[in-house]
Amino acid sequence: MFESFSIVLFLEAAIRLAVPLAVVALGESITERSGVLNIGIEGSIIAGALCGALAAMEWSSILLGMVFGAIGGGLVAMVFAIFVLGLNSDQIITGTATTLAGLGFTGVIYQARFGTTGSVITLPVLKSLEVPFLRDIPILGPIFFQQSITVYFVYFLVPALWYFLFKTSWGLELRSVGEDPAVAEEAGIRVLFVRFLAILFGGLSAGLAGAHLALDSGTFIENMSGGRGFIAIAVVVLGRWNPVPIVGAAMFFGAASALQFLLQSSGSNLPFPFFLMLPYVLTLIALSGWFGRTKAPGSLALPWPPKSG
Amino acid sequence: MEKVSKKFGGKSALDDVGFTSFPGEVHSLVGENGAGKTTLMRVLSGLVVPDSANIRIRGEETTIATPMDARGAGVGMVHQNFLLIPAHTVLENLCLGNRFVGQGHVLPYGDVRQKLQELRDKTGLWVEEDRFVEDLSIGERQKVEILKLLLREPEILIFDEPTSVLAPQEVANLMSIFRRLALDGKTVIFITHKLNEVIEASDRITVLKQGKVVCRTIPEATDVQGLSKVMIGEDVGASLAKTQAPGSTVVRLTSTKAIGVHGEEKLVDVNLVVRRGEVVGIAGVEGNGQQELVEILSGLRRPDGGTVSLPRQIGFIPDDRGGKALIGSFNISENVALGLVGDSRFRWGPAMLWSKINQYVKDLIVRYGIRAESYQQKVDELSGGNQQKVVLARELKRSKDLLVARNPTQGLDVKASEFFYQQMMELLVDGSRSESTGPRAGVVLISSDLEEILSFADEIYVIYNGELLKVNKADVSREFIGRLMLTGRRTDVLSVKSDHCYD
Repeated sequence: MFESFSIVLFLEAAIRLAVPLAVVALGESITERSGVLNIGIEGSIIAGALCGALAAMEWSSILLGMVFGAIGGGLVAMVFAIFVLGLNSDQIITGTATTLAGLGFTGVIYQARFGTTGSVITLPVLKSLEVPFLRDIPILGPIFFQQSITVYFVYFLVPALWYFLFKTSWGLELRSVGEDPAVAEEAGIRVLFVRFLAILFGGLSAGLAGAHLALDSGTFIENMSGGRGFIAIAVVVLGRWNPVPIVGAAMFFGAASALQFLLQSSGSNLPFPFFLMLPYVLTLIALSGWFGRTKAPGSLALPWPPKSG
Repeated sequence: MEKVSKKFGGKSALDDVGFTSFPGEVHSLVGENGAGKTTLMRVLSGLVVPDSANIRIRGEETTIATPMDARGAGVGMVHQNFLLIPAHTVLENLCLGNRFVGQGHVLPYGDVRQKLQELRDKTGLWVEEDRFVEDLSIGERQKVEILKLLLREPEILIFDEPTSVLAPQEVANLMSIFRRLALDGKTVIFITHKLNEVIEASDRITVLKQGKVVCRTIPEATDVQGLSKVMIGEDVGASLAKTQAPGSTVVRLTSTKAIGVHGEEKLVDVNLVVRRGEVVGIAGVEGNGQQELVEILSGLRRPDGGTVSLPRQIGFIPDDRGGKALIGSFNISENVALGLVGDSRFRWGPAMLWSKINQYVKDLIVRYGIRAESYQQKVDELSGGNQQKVVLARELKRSKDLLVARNPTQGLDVKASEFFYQQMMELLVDGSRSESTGPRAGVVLISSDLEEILSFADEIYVIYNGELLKVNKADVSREFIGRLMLTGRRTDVLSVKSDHCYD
């Protein structure tokens, strides 16, 4: 009885920890499919967390918190897009700057609003939404259908993105831009416009994930994004730029984190950083090509139009 | 098409060219490199805007200013380099090029599959549509390009040197596809410089030479020799340059082989000896293995068979100068210094002596007539011809044992070319036995410019299909070498029919 209860609890925790990662990674995968590597996504997460927290506090509304969180993340991504697409600046350097600026700027706003000592913000907290009937399925019910609204959003997003990527002409155009912009352009596609939309979608998703972090914990803390942007980039690689495996990879990271909490509380002999390390080791293995075709989009992180030199 | 003219920078690429083709025929457009064949077809497909032209398609006066106009008029072109995405499937690639197929934004895979089936029944053209393009052979990729074009339902299909990338059996396959397209009522225009294909596959032939139509004929009325004579022109007689007797051997290739990425033989048992004090000229139509030979001679590539012995100090003038020989964002001095790093005169321990280098470069700028603001100007900002002079200036100085030069004077003005030739000949002279300071090096001159080869080479070879064919001194003539370049045949196996050109 105790055993099965703790496994359900563990899986439920794993999903809860995986959800923000999954949302960020799904958004980032669309950006990367267009040939843009946005490592400034961390900046979008933290901006989403702050904007979400402020909006939720102002109007005491979880929904508005989510919406404004997404907008905040989208705005940061647009700054990134202006530099990368408009000025054709280097994606890695611009992304790093975006992350650092995002973390710094949200800290400044937070301290200006709440003082340097950081009075504790209290927000309306995300409640778990239980799906009627489905929640009553033994074991699966509590794991999958007694979760926050963001989890259900992921359930919707995965098949939607899959259909978009592989069954619509928009998806084909997006992937073509990411593989070979020259060919895409010849086919009459506006490369930079497609990339702009892809970056924007990535930013909105990251902002939403940030708002989820704030609303899930009921507060905003500086640097609360905690490197999730970078982990999400690893998740995208591990998930091979495909929605379904990406969610699987996010679950894996979530499970590793949950296991680490579990082991810490149970006083196991194994040092807990071992479990923290596991997902990253797996990512490295995935990158080494042991799992077959793990090819990134052909023009990922390359400038367009190409720079002569 | 009538009265098509186009000038590039004062030089006439097309001079009052007239070209007519009919539905249901395979029409070959032949000529040497730079004869204007591709330019003419780029005019028809809207990629080049002519200075003057009078184009009628199906009897209607048509203005073609953009590729979209051409598409609208039913003209489509299969380019030499394929526009396909390797990581996508054939089907996905076909859908990308034809966005108007189907309705809405759901991909019309079903429709496209059905159309492919129809095309297969009609033309026999078939590629498994669910395979990834990266897994396809070059010939199959070309079929995908053709299918992409056919889905647009064009009336006129232009193929720009489609056989240059294909293996022989794939060529035969393509020719039968041409035939079936023509039977279907399409016009197939086929640009090439491989004459045996022309004779086999076409209904009519148009020969261009230096931007002018020099011959219109049908295959029954001519043959490979006859066509090559028309293409190359009259024999003007040639003489070999006289230099000192050659010295010791600097390069020796014995049964050297090179295998391409798809396993095809790029070089077949090449034997070559270069001695000090001689210029070895290698003539040939581009794409017959020159690239591989040059890479082996300059030490950039290991041979896939046979033995190679090379000297130490090699100067190398590659074909793609901007890409391989210069760093665009470096200035002239820095680019020249890249060739001097081993020279003790210009360094003191690990430190480069920049004042000496700059002085040296200033001297080169004057002697080669490089048009630059100063030795500190970035190479990117120089014109193509001036970039080339920088390469020549640097590489000639390095050629203590051997100079490998590929089309060295392409893009140079007359004065600079002459200066280059003079410098090249200097390399051959033995410095210890005359006032000159030449190092008595060997020179390999690989060129598609036959004139250059005939003027300067002591030994002449022709490269054809990866084979190096030696030209005996007694046989040296423009006509003989031209025929060898185009056909690989030394003698007229068939009797030469008089070349009937119709008008």
